[in-house]
Amino acid sequence: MKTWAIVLFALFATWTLQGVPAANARGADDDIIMEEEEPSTTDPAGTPTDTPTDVGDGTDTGSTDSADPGAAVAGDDEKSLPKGDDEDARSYWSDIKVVPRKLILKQNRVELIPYMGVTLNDNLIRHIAFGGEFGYYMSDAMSIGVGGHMYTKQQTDRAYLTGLQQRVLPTLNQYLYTATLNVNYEAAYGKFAVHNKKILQWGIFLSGGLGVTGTEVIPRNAAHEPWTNMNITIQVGAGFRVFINQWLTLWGGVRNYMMQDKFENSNRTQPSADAGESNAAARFINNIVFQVGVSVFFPTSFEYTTFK
Amino acid sequence: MKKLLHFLLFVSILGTSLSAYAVERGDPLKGQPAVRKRVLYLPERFEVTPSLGVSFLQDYRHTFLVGAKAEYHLNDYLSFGFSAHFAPFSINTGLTDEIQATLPNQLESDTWVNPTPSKDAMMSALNEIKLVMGPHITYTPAFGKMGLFSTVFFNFDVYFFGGLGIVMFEAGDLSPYTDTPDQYRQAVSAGTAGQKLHILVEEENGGMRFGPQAGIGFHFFLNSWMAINAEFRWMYIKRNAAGFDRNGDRVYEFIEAEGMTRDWVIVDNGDESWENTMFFHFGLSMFFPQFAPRSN
Repeated sequence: MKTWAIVLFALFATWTLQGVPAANARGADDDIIMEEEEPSTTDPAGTPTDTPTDVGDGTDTGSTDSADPGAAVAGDDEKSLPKGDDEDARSYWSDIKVVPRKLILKQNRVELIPYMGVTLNDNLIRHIAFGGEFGYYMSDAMSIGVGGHMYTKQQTDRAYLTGLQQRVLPTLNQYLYTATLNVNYEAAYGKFAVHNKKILQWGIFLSGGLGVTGTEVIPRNAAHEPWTNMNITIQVGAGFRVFINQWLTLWGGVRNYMMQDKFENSNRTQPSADAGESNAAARFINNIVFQVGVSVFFPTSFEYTTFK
Repeated sequence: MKKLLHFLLFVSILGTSLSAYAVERGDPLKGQPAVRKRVLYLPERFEVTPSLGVSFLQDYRHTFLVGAKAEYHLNDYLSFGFSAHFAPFSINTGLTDEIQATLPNQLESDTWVNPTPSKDAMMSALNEIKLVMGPHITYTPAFGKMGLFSTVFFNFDVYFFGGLGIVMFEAGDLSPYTDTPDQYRQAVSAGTAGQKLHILVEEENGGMRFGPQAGIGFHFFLNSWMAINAEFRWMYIKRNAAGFDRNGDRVYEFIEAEGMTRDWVIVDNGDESWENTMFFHFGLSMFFPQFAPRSN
């Protein structure tokens, strides 16, 4: 009987006291020990390091701290853990990552980018581009790949108005396709907080490449047959991506596809399409395309190689 | 039986302790700010940004701007301000050069048959942006930190703004190249008619135009009170950039001396159309007071 009484009392005590730790936990949430009184320390190299309360930001631009994105880039997040005197506090914070890990490690992974784009720098004819890029990351920052897109054209109001107002038929070519071999380099990496709630990571990449662009003349004389050109193309550009998860990013960029294209001669007395083609005028073209898409990394998961 | 009770007691205590421990170990950062001890660059500070600007995707003239933006930040997210930029000069676009190269140096001898403008007439008809300004409200949802080539680190924020856009255009002047019906009658009578465009400019393509404006910008902070400011500004403005007729409206006049009816093309506000007018601005933002506190 005595044993029964002890058991029942113990059960009662343990079950009714379940809410106490929860209440304590809520209290702890409201009053987290941020160890902000602890002064900044200095590492052996003399570089000031930040307090552990700096969850990825919060330092002057003048100081380089262990919690900055560079640390994130290097994956050195383990070195920013607090070293408080209070052992409880230390254990409490020991598994909180001061610097979030880099969300995506890209080395030895392939990236597939379906995208669409629009040409920016021609007032008379606009092209919508649909295409994709396939890349392989040799390191976490550099990739090589191949990309290409097809164009559909839209002549703008200005193309029509130029004929109406200045009585000039514009000399136009339409783009057909572009394909390039590309080298991309992630030059900048950072993170930002949205409403000081959600931290997102992002990067800026530079891009260069070599390829071809197909174009087709839009004859001023509608009776003439169009002809096509295939132009060696140099591509330079820059863009950004926002990392969503370990295999998906939102991707955007501006790329300039530079080429020497052939147009109808501005001498408007070509008797035939053949004569127009043989007298074609070459002109250097900057075809600037704004592209947006998503990039998907394969394999879709990876193992971190550094400690938390 | 006693062993069974002890076992049950042990399991009960163990389970309760584990669940309590799990509750206590719940996410301690839940509900906490993402960033603590950060420099508060914006709240209750006044910002002045002298800047240079350039138009983007203009049809006929690239416009360069000099001006400033003044803004007061109510808090971390909201601010209001006013910007004004003067255009000291502009240059031809590639399209303008291309059209010019095609046009004749002089008006055609029979402008009734071929009213192609001359190079000078075409350039004189263009309107030009002289002033860009307007009030706006700014929303700054995000701030962050970035590393450039893993070498240079700086803080930044990104903001969106919208408001009223005001653009003042300097009107083109086609009058040296056009005639009116009365002038034409006199010229016919005098035997000097010819080499004039038969255009009635009833309303010039200059003056103030109003429309919405919106954009996106970045501050790249150099220190607690200075930042490089890059901004893209879009305005939707109604204008007649070319200065010629667009909608085909015209007036018919009987010319007694010729015994026939002639028509004059009318250029007025009806020839305006809504156009995207875009600018890039690059400036140096200065925040006052210069001291920027840190958050908790």
